[in-house]
Amino acid sequence: MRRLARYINIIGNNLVLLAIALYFLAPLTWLITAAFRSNPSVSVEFTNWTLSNFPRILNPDTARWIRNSLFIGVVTTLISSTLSCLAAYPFARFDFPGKTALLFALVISMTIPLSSVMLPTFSLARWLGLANTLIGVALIAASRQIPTALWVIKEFIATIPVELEEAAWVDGAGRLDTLFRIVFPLSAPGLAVIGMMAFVSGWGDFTISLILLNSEELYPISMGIYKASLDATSWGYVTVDYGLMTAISLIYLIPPAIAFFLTQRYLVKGMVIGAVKG
Amino acid sequence: MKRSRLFILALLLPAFLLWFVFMVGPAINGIYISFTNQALTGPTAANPRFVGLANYRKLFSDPRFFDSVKKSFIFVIGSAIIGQAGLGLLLAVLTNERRRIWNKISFMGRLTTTICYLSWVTPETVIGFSWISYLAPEGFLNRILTTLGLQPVNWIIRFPMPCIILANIWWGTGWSLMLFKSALESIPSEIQEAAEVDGASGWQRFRYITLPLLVGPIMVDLILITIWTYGVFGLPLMLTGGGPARRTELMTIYAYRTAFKFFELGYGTTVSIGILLITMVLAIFYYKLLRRE
Repeated sequence: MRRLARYINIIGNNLVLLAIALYFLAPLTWLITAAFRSNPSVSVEFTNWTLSNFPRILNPDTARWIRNSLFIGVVTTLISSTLSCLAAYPFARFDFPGKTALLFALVISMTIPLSSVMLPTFSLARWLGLANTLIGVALIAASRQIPTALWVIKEFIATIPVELEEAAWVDGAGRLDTLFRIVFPLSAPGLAVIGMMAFVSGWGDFTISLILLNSEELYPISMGIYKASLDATSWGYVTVDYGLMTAISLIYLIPPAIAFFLTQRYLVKGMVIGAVKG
Repeated sequence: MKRSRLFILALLLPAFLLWFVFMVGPAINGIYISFTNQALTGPTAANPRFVGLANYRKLFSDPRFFDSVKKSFIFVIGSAIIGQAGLGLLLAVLTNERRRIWNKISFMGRLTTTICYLSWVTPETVIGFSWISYLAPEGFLNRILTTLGLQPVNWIIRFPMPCIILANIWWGTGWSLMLFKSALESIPSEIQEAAEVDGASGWQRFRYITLPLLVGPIMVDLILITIWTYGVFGLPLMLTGGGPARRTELMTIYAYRTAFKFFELGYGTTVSIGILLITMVLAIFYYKLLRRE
């Protein structure tokens, strides 16, 4: 009897998990199949398999989307990681006037939704001559990474024993030396986390590009897909090259997926500590 | 001493400059713009005038604004509080590796959590694109229904709000799952074992041991996802664009339309200040909660 109950329990659990898995998998079915079919439509079919959609990604238009997305992703990562690391060090090691106030301001600012400041952000970019530039998109994306990145890296630095640095200072190393030779290398997992978060947000950015960019040659992949989706919902007035668009969507999804699964172990630690412990 | 002050300042300055100019600045400027009649084009674009509370008076007598507040509220309750937190908690508890049946369900458990995380890192435009086709009249969901012998439904037209809610649950659950899984791992297993020895059932152990210990993480999760969900913009914009007939016009979409489609910068910004105010209040709660723990 108890064995029967155990079997029912196991089967029941598996069924619930299967249902949840299907909920998550079903919307991706079209994307995954259509990318490998010639001339796919909106419906899911399992015929006409081909790989010919993927080489077409290298045509000038879509290759430029990829280049633009890469630029935004990489520049966002470089700027936000470097600046957050430098600024996190004093927070982990010193007491200075205004420290608590700054931390409070950082946490509060973390919660400013981008969609609530779209217009002022656009005005600012226009005023600074950054409207319709990729560097403008990257700067805005990077600035929005700073609160979380600083918070996470501060937690990592705080776990590094200060004695390691003190020993180096005794040997005549300067503060900057120990920062770059000891502190940053030892917080590598934290760096991986904030780098991954910044890259994913820059690479995947849609909203900043939507409000800042209006020349088609500056469009990142997200804007290309957005335009295609507008065409797709235009009730057939414009034909969409679904083969090309699903292939590029699939490629678009790979870097963040890899970044996530590579840093997952540290990510959970870093982000959850950042959000829960504070 | 003086040198170390200078050192601290030099380290802090670049990050805080960028943060202040590009992240905080627009929020402050937004509050200022909401008191002017600035427009994107036309004569008031170059010389905006201070109009006091005029925009706010307009806001409070604008039925379309209150409508969007209501829509956003429904969206947040449905997709964040019930959907993401609920599904995230369920999945975290089901896939807890300390369960005695874990090795019998580990395959499905790992598969499900992996796809859930994958959805979370998918760029939002890809989610929008996939869901548009998924819900299309000739899309995959209807194909499943017709295979089962049911009638196809034009989902976006007939049930726009449930559509964007389901898509947003699909997108965001990964975060709650991650948070709850790590919270569950930090519960000492001795407590569970002791309760099991005392003959507590699975549900009783969840209700009286696990759940009370998860109250902190659940609160943090709820506040964060509420804030984030109020700000969700790109996904509903792609799926429904606020329609049909404004039935999914969230605050973010209304603000975007007023400002970028109807070119009323001052008023559009006032609409988005509404979102800012709601999230700010929640943010202060969040900070208080962090301090207390």
